[in-house]
Amino acid sequence: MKIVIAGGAGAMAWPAAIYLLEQPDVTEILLIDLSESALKERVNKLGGDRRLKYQALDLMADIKATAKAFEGYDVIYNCAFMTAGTATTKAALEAGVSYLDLGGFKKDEQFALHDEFKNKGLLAILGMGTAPGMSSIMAAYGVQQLDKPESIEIKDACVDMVPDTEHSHPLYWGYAIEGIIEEFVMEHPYFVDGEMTTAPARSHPEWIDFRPPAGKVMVATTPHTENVSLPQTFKALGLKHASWKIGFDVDFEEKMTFLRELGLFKTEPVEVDGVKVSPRALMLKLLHNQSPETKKAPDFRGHMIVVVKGEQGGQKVEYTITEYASADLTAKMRERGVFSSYRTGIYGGIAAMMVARGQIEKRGVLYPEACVPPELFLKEAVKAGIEVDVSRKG
Amino acid sequence: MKIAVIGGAGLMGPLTVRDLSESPGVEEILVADYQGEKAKELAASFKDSRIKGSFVDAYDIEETANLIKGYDAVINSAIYNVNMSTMKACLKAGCHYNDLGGLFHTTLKQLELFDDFKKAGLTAVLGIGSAPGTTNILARYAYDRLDKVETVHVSSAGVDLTDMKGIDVFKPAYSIITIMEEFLDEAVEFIDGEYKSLPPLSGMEEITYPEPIGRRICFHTLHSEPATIPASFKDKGVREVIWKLDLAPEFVERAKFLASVGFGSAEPIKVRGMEVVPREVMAAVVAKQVKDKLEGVELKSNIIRTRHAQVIGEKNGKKVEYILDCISGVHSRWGALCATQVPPSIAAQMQVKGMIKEPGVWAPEQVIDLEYFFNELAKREMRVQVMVKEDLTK
Repeated sequence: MKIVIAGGAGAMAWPAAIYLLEQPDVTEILLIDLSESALKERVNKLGGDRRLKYQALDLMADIKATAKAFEGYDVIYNCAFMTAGTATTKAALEAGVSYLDLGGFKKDEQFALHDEFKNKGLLAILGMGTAPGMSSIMAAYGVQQLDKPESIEIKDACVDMVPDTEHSHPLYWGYAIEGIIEEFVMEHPYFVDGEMTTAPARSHPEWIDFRPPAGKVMVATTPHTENVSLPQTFKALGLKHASWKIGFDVDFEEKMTFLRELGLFKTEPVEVDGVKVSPRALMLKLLHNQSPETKKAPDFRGHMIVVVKGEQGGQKVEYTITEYASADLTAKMRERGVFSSYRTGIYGGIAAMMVARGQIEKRGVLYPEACVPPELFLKEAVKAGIEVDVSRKG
Repeated sequence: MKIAVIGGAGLMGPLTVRDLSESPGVEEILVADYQGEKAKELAASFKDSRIKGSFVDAYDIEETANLIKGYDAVINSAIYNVNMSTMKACLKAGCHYNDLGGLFHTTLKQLELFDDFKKAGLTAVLGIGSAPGTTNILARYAYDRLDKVETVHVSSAGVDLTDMKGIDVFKPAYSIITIMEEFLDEAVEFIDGEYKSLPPLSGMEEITYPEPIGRRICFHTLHSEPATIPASFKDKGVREVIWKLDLAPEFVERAKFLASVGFGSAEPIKVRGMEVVPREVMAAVVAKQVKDKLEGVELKSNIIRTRHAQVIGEKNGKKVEYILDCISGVHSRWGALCATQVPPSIAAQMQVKGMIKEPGVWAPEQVIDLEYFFNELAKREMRVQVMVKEDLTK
């Protein structure tokens, strides 16, 4: 199998490449990113494996050029930040290669290509990371066990186990800070009582007991694909409620809330000495400009809990599906120096392999829960070092 | 008397203008500010024909001198960066000058203009707010009554009992830029007869203040009292002059966090092609946040603050300790704290009336008539009390 990883020098691509290099049927991985030096460094970090190739390319600059780079590969695995989604999808289509990514805000532009993908016999899976992605597939697994689904609740924790006082950096994030900021700010769809309503960012909080070391975490809603994709996929089957909630460590939640309340997440420019500047742009610049860590690196831990309720044989039942990175997997990643959330890269990698191996039948532009066979995916996840637990309450 | 207030529309200026407008013998008041529109609006809001508003760039010595010519005294309520240029403008225009402090280092530079002011027959009183200002004068009270002065500890502390109606607003008590510097710059204290640089926010000490303030935790910060008091009290052998500030731990955490992200930086940084100074953007964002959150909200401010001086020395061979407090609350008519804004108004009037006999550049403890000053403070609902501790055994 020959795989392209777009955003190949980025944080999500690193564990993705580690996973893919472990697959015996992977013969080549092409890493594409903006900076050649960053790509070289990444290849080094991956042990200089012979199967790795790299190309410095701006995915968005010239779709034809991107498509040319994609030609001949079995799947395009887009790990780049969301803004590149539409362009990369179009390039995959043009190159005649199936595609998957980790999520984005302009999915309607990608869904608009559904018929074209279908007609060319291609598949594009949108949002195939941890969440959306594994979360959606865990939900699909639960729904599959039921005659009629009623509610799906997804809870996630992304917690830095190292206290802030032991970092020199003022703030660490488990995944793209640009994305997390949006999660703290945007009002979003919220499916309740069979109707699509809206909820403010970080609303409906609840304290959930996650497996150690995450422990007790306050989760709350954020804009997330599952809020929309689960009702879209399962409403016809009778789904009435769907919610996605995530929690962070207390320090992070407090700091982000403080920055937001202060107005530093606003994109509306403030005028200072005749110059207009977006507070968010300045803040991101400063956050990305920190000098190297002098104390401890972060240790992001956490997992998901998906609860699917509904009817089975006339009875009300409840399935709880959890995913949790095994100690071995965690140790391996830490040893390799991967400190941000790594499950995302792995889940996308599993799906990329399933696409490349022809294990997914559906065609077109689809959400994961609408095309990825849940049981097979969960089995692959277990092989990759994820503990998957399914329990039933009836 | 004709008195101009530079920075008159800023954080401190308006109440100084108000105090001047309610003082006898004041014929003209100029509200001058870099935010010219704000200055004019403020002036108009008094509905008092004596009060005018104008734009001023206090860095421009020539223009400022032209503006203030004809005024008897200038109160500089702006940020300390404009102290030197404003003093030079006063020399050019022939006006007395006072300000709210030069954060130690600028104060020392300003003292170098002593001969210029002496030659011009003008007086300048540096740091005549509440701290520095009232603190210096409280220390002088003790100095006058001692043969020898060993240590001078000045501080400011308070308690905020305002019902915020559940609104969580990050509202710095004074310029956030000054606060950032107090958090980032080394504190300079006079210890064991010499100046020592200490880490900012070091020297954590619990000090007991009059009720309802009680016990407060105080820290070293860069401040102006140690810049002048050692020289002023040298003849009585002073060995130690220390300033500390009480800070709510939560506020310290938040301000430290902002500073660690980089918002305290005065270095310009390029954001989307535009050069901006992080601390200035932050000041604008903080100010906007306060304005937005408190828009239309009626809050009954209830804050009690003290400016405190503890002086230990000898009288007639015996050890004596003086503890002085100038306690201030929310002014019954003005609805706000005025401890910092009132002293410069009192001092400017004293300067015009010739109550500061010697021309030159002075610290408050060197030239301000204590009894007169305390009585003037009392007229603005601020009371000064002294406790004297001495051992009565032979």
